[in-house]
Amino acid sequence: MSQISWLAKLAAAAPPQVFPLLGRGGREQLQQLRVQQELALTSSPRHAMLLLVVGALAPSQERAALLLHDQLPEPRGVLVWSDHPWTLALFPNAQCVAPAALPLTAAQALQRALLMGEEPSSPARLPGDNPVQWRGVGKHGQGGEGMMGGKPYGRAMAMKRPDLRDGLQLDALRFVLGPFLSYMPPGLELAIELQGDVIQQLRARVSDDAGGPDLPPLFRDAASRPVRVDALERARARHLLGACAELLWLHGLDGWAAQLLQLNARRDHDVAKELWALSGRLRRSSGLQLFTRGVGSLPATLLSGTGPIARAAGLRQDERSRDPAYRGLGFEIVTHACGDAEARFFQRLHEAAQAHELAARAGERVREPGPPLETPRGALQVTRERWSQLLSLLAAGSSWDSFVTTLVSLDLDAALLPSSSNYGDAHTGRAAEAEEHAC
Amino acid sequence: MLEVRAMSPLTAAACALCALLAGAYLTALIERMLSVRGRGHRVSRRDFGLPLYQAALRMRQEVVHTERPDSLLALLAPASYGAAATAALSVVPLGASLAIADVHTGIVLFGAAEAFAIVAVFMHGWSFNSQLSLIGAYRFVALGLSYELLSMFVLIAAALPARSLQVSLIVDSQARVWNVLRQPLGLPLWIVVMLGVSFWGPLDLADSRDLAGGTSLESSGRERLLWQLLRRAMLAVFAGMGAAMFLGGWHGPLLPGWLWMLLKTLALLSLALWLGQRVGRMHAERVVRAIWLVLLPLSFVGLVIAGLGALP
Repeated sequence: MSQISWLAKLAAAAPPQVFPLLGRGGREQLQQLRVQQELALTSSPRHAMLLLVVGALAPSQERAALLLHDQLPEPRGVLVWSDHPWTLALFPNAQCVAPAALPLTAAQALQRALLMGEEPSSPARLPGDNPVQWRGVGKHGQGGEGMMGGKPYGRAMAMKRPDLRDGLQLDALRFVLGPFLSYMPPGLELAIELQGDVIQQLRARVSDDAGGPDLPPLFRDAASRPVRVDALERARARHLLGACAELLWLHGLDGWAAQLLQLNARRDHDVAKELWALSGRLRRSSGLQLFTRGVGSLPATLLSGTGPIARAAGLRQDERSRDPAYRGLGFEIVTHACGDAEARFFQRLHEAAQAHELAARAGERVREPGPPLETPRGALQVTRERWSQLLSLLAAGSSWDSFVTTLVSLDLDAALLPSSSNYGDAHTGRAAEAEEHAC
Repeated sequence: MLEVRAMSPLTAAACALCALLAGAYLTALIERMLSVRGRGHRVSRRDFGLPLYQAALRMRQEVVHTERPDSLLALLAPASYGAAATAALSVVPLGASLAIADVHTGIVLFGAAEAFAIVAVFMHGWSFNSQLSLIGAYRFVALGLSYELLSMFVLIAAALPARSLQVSLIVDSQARVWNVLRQPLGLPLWIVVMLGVSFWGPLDLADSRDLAGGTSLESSGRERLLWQLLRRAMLAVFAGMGAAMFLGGWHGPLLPGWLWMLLKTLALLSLALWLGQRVGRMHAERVVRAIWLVLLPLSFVGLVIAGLGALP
């Protein structure tokens, strides 16, 4: 008993191990935690002790959220860092933290209480029985009837199909990822067919109740009321730098990502200068080009409209150039040429530096509602179905790691993608039966 | 002729266990320090205890089993990886003329341990019956041959001046000039092998974030603790081997041989971990291309330089 107590005390000194369950509008909140040394954000729910629910969940995501909750090893706890009523109602026994506060102290206290046995572990929310009866007879699952056709135990077996590149017969693995994989836009699900590490097919979808565009609140307000230009530009810079930090974090560059996010929290006039300097350092010494150059190219011919994705491909379109609130501020459209992940990264970084410069020059200038507003993601004139096609095109034949880099570099809003009800043929017949949720 | 002290089996086992644990702790500690500094914070006294706190936390967590895992492979994977790390460690000198098993074919044994480690990582990823773990395992095996070949050429080049495959003799051949000076390509290439086989930093392709943890995605509690400990120990063993092969091992003025060996190992370990945090993870396909088109030809050049230098 004393041994366990000694071990528990030692364990209680560890930083909270937290898996983020990211709902809509929660990304900026979550990024505040990426700079914290005293909290570890894990990539897998199995590595965590606490589930941190951030942002707003949709009712259709209930089962996926509860499934994720049950994947955390015991003892486990739940923190809800949101004031969204439905999300709070989904985890009635969870500890709540207001969005304006940091959940660091609450996470430390909850983990400590769980380890010391002062707080009970959050009980499983879904029944633990197997959805489909196991029909194998051998101890390794071999034999038995109804095992052929690729679906023993309700799970798809990898069945042979010709490879996209050379037609060789290889095992194809089909499954669904999402809607809570931490680097994907909240709510996005990807139905994938992989052969080895190479994507053969991919379909993207979101739930029907995913809601409208996922924008920083100030940009939603700007459509209906006057807002200060400096506040708008700082909010833009925060969003753009957040998107850059996500890509760096995905590739293990936590230190660089933290530097960007720390700059995000500052409001002084030196931020723009430091961002330009950081951009140079990143080009020289992070190996960024090695994993972004030539990855996920979207040429200007495939795009129209505004936003960093279009401008990274060379389209000189930005609503701010026509907005009276920006007249006389020295605003010039920044563009890049290649339209690949590298161009999108530096496009956002340079636009963030420019946004800080504009904020410094804007003084107390106010933007009136009326003219079209340039949001941090812009307004690409691309339909939902076209987006889905573009993603499928970018994915087919690409390796999984390249595609993930592409996806994160696009900084997609899940609301731009087709909902489940318009999902089409990927959800029919055996393909739908074969899908599984991996995370 | 150099004489290397032989250890009794019990001493050897105790020595290996202590060295692996110390290696894992030091790796975790340096990793934490670099991470804290990278975020612009100061290292505190608490950071020194952090690896222990985290280990205790894993001990207190439940081990979650996936549906229909391959239980036999789940046991064999860490056992094999641990055995590979121990076998590799056995030929690494721990001090002046002191090794657990200074066999005549030391670098061959080290190469065999590397190959065994690759199989162990595949078993680990396979055993959970989970898609992303399996992809991590596939990926690692696809890269394994590239790392193995690179390692072989680099180690052979380092062995040429000693005209021996025995690690202690290779260290002794560097009494005057370290291999890092006479074979300048060797150490950078060895760091690539180190990061690759232990899947760290830019070469962490088996357990990467795009796979939500890859081969380790489903591991929890004590299982995860053991795997993380072995991975860090493996990295430290590779750093030790690098110190022996390229930095003159125990040779150095004033300080005792074991301390020189420790300092050089820590320096190499810190360099590898620093690189791991400063350079982003690459894509598997690009890594294979870079190794076959650039690094392997460079290793041939290194081999030619070493061969010419070894001519009487």
